[in-house]
Amino acid sequence: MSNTDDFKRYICKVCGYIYDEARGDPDSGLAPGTRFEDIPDDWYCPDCNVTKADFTALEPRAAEPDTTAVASVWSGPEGGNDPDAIVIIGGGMAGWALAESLRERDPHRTIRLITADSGDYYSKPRLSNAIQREVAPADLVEETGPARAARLRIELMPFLRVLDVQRERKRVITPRGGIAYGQLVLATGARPRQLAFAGGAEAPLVVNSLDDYRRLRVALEAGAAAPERTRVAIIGAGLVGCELADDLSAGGYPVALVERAPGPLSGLLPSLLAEDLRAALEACGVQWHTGATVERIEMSEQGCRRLSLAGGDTIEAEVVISALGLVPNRALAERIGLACHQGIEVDAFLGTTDPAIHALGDGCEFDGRLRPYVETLRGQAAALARTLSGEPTAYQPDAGIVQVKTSSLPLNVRPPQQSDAGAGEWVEIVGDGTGRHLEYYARGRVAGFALSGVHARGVRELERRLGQPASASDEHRHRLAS
Amino acid sequence: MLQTRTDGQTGVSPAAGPADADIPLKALVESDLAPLTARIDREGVYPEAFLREAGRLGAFKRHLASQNATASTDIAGAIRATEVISAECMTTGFVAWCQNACAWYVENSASDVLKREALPKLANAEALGATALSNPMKWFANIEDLKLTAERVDGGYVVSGALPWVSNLGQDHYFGAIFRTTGDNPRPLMALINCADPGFSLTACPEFTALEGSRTFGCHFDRVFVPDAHILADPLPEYIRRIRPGFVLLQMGMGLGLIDGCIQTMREANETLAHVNGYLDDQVGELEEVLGDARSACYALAETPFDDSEAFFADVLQLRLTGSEMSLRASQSALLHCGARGYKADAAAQRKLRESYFVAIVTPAIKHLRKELARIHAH
Repeated sequence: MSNTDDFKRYICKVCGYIYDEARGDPDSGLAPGTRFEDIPDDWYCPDCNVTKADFTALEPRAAEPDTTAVASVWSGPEGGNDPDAIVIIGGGMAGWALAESLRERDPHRTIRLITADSGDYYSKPRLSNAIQREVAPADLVEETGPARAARLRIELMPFLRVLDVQRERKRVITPRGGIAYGQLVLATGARPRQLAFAGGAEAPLVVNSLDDYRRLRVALEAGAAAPERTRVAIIGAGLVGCELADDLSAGGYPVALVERAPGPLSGLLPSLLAEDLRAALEACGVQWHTGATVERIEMSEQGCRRLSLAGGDTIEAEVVISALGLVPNRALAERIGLACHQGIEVDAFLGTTDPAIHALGDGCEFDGRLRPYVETLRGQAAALARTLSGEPTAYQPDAGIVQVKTSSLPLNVRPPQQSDAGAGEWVEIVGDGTGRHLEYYARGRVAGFALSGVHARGVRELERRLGQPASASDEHRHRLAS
Repeated sequence: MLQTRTDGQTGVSPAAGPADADIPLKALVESDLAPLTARIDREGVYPEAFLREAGRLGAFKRHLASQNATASTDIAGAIRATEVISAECMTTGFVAWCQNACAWYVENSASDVLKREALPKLANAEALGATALSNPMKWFANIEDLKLTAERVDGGYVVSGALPWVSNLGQDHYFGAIFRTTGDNPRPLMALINCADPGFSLTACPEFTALEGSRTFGCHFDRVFVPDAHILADPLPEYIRRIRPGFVLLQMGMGLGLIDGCIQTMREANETLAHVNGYLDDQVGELEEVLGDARSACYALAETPFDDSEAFFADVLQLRLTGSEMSLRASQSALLHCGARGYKADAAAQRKLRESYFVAIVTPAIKHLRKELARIHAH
């Protein structure tokens, strides 16, 4: 035996058996110290019978860096068995707002929050105005899921999707097993409406979650080209479409905006303000295609997509975003037999048709309406936290003010409610270079308003005047067709 | 933010059929399999007669819409059949899964020849089949390299290389294999191989700690000719996305059945030892609840086996991981419930302990599953 320090080891590529020269293979007649090159060709791997030709010098494999110690933050359902637990399904703003309000009211109740993503907390409205400020996706996270869970002393179950709920057994069924609940809350949110376009290009991007925003940033930066050379087409000039158009054009991206209606935010804005918004975005370089629908999206050369509009126009863009509104996620509620209409139907106390299950946020339908707004989910979380802590509290709907965060023309709008719409008229109080202040009068009272530019800041004052008599002097103001 | 798995997906099979569909199979397990269980485990007896008979009863075609009477892809039904078998003997449950997986490959393939010639026989266990996808599964997960290579020749491919251990093999058994082509347009392909193909040979494996009756062999390919008609998929990736949820879900029959068997063993032990077993961590009632939850999750996922989204496959992998963890927990509890009587060499409890470790290490193993889930959940 020569120098014992330089014995080498060889691994069978087929089964992983290791031949160690120091040990040999005495069962096959290879004495300890037999060099690999001295092994006869008719020797076979003792575990899988291949010859030495299938062996290779062993190079220990470095362990990969632990980039993702995420998968087992929650370990098994052992802890999932408190029958009085409040279990929240959904880790968006509504789910977290409820968890926070509940913890404030009850320091001891077991609260579990199940979410399909990491549970990291971020403000969804910020997703549509983060580009111009060059906010990295990670910087939108205000608090990580585990940190927030620890602070609120709740149990976070991240990366977990709910497959079923067994209402008789009061158990939530997941791929990690069952979770008992005393009260279950569906904060399952809404997802972007997606249309299937002909033409074979991949589906347009949507912007409804932090993961979506990550994908958008990747797409925008894919060509490593300057923003001016990355054209963006947005389908839909609703709230998200207009905010994104504003944000992206301020960030230097050429934006084309396609809208089926004659103008932006149709159904929300009085036509005068719709025209102002259109002009404001146009001044930022947004190219409008109103009264237009997309028929096909095709890939053309060099990562460029070609959108064909009904009527024959075409738009070329490197990035295509769909912003066609939200659809409540009600599949789980429907599966388990809860009453659903547009969203999950809830009563005044946000109860569903099962007394042990409540719902809040973008996924629920209160009083026949969807209210996918942050102010709504905050009010609902506060009321529901009281109810679930033993103090039944009806949800009092907020005024329904919609904030449009287009920096080129900020807007605060409170459209007239259905019962008033058509029963009154828009009146212009101020209209000049600083923006506009419109009020909607129905049956002699203030039933809505629309504020833009610097006047948008007066929103709280106007909110107080809702329902108050329209002042006499206002009767002389300029009346507008709605 | 939160998606439920059912969004936008339509079910293709009932979550669970009538439980009495399993009665003839249960009777066969009791009469023909149970007397052999210890010998299958310890002496390596291969339960061939049982498999053939179970095949005649239709146990291996519930998931094959082209072959069963209801024309439905009843994955849950196929899982339940494997559960019934595994609760008694997991070696046999494992080979039942091999059989199911092999037929699943052909059912979802583009090969009309194989669908005509091999599939009806596999569906009835007239022909027996295996799955040699452990290596490719690990290859997909960046754990190891593909071990088989192929050259293009006139009318097909010539495959060479070796796979360390593949189960449910025999003289004329079929199995699915993935190899990498060389030359122009190198790519992975999948084909159905027959053990009788010229150039193919089986070699004995080292003795394992359990599942000795699973007919597990080393597979050696010495320029085995594979005709184009036996190619299951080309291109491969789309096909893999189609078959992989079913492939993994069907494995759940092993774990769920094993847990069920462990609970039965615990119940029997409690007839005389309940007064002391009450001090153990896991009780019959708790494990029954765990099993009920896992079954519900499994059958719910089995409703949409052709959902090819990554989110759905993550659910399937997570459930598979849960199944492994629960199997280890249940078998440990069964042994502790039985005490020394469960430690006897012919006791069911110690056999189930060894079987449960197989659930945990057979591809995809616990570590493999955690690696994949970490990758999917990483940004």
